[in-house]
Amino acid sequence: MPPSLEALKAELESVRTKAVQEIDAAKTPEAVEALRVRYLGKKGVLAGLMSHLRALPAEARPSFGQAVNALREALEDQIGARRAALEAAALEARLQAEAIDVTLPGEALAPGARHPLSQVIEAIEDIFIGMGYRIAEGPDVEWDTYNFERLNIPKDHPARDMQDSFYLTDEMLLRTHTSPVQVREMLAMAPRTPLKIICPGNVYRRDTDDATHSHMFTQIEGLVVGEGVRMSDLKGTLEQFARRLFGEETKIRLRPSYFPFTEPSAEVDVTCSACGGTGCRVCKWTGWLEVLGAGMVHPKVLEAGGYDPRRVSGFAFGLGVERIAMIKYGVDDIRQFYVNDARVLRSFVAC
Amino acid sequence: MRVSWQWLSEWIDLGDMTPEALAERLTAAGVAVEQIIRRGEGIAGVLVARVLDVRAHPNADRLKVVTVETAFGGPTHTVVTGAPDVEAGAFYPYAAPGARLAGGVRIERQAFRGVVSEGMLCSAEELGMEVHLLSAEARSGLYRLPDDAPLGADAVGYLGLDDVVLELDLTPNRADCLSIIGVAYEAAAILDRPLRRAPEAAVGAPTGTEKAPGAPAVGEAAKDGGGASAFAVTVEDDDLCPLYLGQIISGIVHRPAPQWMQNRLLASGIRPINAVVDVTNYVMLEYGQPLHAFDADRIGTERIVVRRAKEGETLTTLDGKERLLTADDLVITDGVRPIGLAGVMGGEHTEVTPETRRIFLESAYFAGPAIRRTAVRFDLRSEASRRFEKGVDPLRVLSALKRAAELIAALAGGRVEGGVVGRQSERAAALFAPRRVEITRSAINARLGTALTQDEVLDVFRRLGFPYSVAVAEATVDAESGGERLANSEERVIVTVPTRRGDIAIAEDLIEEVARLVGYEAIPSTAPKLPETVGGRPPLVGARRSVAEHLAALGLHEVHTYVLVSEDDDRRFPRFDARTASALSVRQPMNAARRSLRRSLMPGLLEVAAYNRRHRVDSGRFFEIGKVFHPVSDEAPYGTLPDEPLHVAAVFYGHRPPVVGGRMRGGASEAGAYDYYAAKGVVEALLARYGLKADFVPAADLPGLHPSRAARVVLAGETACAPSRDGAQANGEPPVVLGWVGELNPSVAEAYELTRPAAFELSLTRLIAHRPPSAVYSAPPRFPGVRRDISFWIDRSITHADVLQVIRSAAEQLTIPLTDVVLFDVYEGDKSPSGKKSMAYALTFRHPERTLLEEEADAATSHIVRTLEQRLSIALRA
Ligand SMILES: [Zn+2]
Repeated sequence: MPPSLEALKAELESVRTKAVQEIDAAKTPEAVEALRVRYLGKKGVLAGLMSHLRALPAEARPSFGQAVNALREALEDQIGARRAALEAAALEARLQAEAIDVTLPGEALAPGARHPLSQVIEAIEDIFIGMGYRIAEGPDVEWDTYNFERLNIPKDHPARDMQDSFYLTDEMLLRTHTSPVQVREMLAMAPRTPLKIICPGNVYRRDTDDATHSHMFTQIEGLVVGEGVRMSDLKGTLEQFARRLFGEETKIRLRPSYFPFTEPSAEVDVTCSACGGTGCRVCKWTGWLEVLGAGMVHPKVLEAGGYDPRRVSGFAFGLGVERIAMIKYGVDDIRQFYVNDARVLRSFVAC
Repeated sequence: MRVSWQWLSEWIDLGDMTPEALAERLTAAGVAVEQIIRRGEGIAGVLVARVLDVRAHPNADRLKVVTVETAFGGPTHTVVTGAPDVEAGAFYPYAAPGARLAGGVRIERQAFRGVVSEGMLCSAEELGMEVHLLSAEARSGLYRLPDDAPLGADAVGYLGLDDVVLELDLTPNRADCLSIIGVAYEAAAILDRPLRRAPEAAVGAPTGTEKAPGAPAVGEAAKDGGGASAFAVTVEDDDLCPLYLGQIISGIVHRPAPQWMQNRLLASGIRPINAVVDVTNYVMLEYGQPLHAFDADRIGTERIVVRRAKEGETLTTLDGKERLLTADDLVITDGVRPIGLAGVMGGEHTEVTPETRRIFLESAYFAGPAIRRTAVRFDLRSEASRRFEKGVDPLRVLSALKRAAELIAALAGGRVEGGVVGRQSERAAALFAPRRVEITRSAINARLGTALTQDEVLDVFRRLGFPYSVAVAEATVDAESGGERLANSEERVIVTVPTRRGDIAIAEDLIEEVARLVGYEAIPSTAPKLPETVGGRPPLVGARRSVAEHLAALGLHEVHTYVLVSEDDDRRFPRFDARTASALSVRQPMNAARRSLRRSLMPGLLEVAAYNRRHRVDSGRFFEIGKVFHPVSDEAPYGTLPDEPLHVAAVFYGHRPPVVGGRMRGGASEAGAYDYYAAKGVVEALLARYGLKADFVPAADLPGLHPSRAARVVLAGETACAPSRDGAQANGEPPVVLGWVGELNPSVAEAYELTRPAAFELSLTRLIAHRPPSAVYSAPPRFPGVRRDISFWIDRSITHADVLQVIRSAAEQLTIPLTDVVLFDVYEGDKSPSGKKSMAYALTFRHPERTLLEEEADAATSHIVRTLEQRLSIALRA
């Protein structure tokens, strides 16, 4: 005898109740899959119920078919949700198991440091390149004539005492300043203007190495030659430079001085970057730090460089890189730059 | 230069100023005051006292009890002293109870072994005097005062201990400020106030009327003053000695200079000696004119001949040293032999001694450069030579002589005898002639960027005491600006520069005078009005920076080391880019370690490594980019400037940085020591960065390196990106050696206390010269490649380069391209047959126009393997 619609619907309900319980209770994705096969598979429970459909009277078939399909959809949804939940939990568990100590050091690429002197040189170069200056270099071993004579320092001039030199021969020496590059560049350029150059390089003096002296150190020289160049231009240029190197609030001060190759000449002080000008140990309580020598190019030097001093004028300035680096980084012994202690260099990795 | 405030105040009224205020003004005007020294600071309550009697101390052998008075017949005080030489009747500084001495010592009534001392007698040191300038006698015991010292007077005032000294840090151009009078002129200009008196007025005329300084009539002067001199003066070299004057003074009594003069010498840092010598120093300090006193009785010829020394002549100078002279040296002679080194130091034979009764006092103008040459050569930089070198005021040659003669007469009991004798050359007239320098206000403003008025400009010259006149310039047509515009009809200022300012010769010098006296702060800040320029750096400078950044990113620290190294260190390392064998060195090194100009960066780098190793930095990687120096020719190494190629070099020592936490992650935990391959890896990275390919050619002949672990880095014919610009090798030119890489020879490493460091050195100059101009785009391959791995046993002596070469040549016979050969394993150990190693290569074949068939790749691989078997006897591994 064919099953009644009522009886089938009752069975359908009991299947629903059982399946819902079992799916909820499934602990693994595999168990969920087994339930899916059992209830929804081709030979599953729902397929079995559907097989009764043909036995039902025609008018009852749609209602029963809909009921089975509704249950199928409900179970599919529940199985899908249960599976997703179990997979999420499994993933979570696996990720937990993969926990590491994120505070352990990373694989060491251990970047090296640029030397502080290089960093200062390049910072200064960049400032002046931005102002339209070209970098020019010259030889470390120079002729006396470029190092002295063409810079208005004839032989037996008292100003030679300002720089005790390492001579190789009577006429050849290790340059005592980067100023000979000025001469070489002027000779190459004259009479064209404007000439705007920055000349970094090693210089050498017969000084005994101590905390403030080094027989070799680094200088950067600047030279501008053109029509109508004024001392106020020098002041304005150095003001710009000082602000960019030491900070916007930096001020400069010019004091009369003497260099044979400039006239007028000046020592240039900047407000102490350590105390901002109020006075501290770094600036010996003056609020000022002497960092540059400068002046208007001496007419004899222009002439020796191939220019007509009646037509053009110029300014020049020079600074000691070590001095700037000592101020900038608070180094109190110039020899430190040439010792290259790795423990010190490491602190310059960050630049 | 040390300037006594009291002395300076005799020349200019400073009553309203503090030393600090003047110092600031002087410094701001370019005469830098380095230090303000207060003589005898804090000393008070010390009186001039006389010792009445000296008794033994009842309870102490080494002490004495003395009675002193501070007023004739006044109250007496008992003082205990330890000084053995205390003398009854002598005058001493006496610190009464309540007095303060040097170092803040306070003197009180105090008992010494049962005798109460009412204060103490003082030594020079206790008074804070410049003891290093005093004679041993004056320094050791009590400081004995002259017998004419004013009894009871405040010793602080009497000894000038209330004086203040301004120590000037003078630039070499300001020779004028090497004298009290010069500083007074400078202060007068800065403060805009007159001198108390003109220097000329200070010259009393001991031998009658004397023309104002500058009047060239020496002969006339001699006539005017007491007749002919006993001495005759001849000058044989007018260039080196344009003006030479002398004065005989007889009847000299040997005695010390008066206390006031000694005080000023001490304040000025000059050692008091005796009245005659002290006067010459005193007048030198005041006038800036060095003077010298010869013992006239020791110049038997009664002649002075000034001439160049003869080669080989000798002179024993005041310091007792015999000097071998050359024709460069100017000497004072007695007509036969030298008696003084002109302007530098007198001779011992004619030195003023206690026996001297008659002197020849010299005042001259010697040419600076010659004096400087002599002084430098003998390392005799005296107060006198310093002044001559920088130039003295010719106008003060005579006035200083007069002043000194007058003082010697007054203070050393002398008698000025006869007139001034001497010789003035034609050249001297040029020295005396005032220099006229022309300037206009607009030239000043144009150079300084200021807007000074004519009055402001003229005021500066007035303050300086520079006479000037003003003239209207003739209207001239300025052709440069088209011939239309009339050049300014501006007033020209014609400035007469006094001879005391020898540093001022051209208009720019006057511009500086104006600038410094109106103050540099009056100069505004402007931007140059120049055509636009594009800044930049030349290729080598740019490369230097990017190479440095690259190496730092690879973990190497950048260092800077000295160019001067020891000869031994310099010789030790390869000089791959030197065309010559010689080294350059400096003539007078500071020490042997800084003598030769480096030809390799290695000595400096190894010094750095050794330093760090000594300081327990167990491993390190350092690089330097710097110049080395190669003479251009061995025949004349110093004939031309040397080559200065830029090198980049690195040294590696100790262990590679471990992979941190590697052990915990089951990875490699033991980091190997740096070796050849560590250094080579960096070289390869660097070359790749610059698009260069190189061969690493085994080199057993590189000095300082391990003979079987070193290679020359030779530019390969073809670069990674594009052909090199000069295509050197293509033209059959010799290979370009870029440098070397290797481990150090253990014996050299040992010298630096390093264990097997590895290193490389390359010529950055060469690297950049052969660098391809730019990268060349290569499109991604359109068809997949086919990879075949081969591994085989091979004789261990065969190199990777050998294998590569065979593979490449075999590939040339193939119909399909071999695009890549990668060595991925080398094994040599227990499992390898004797004398063999295993190598494994990945070969990639790729056709540009189609997909390869597996069979094609197999056939190609077989061909390569066969070739390897035939040529290198490899045995394929299973
Ligand atoms: Zn400060």
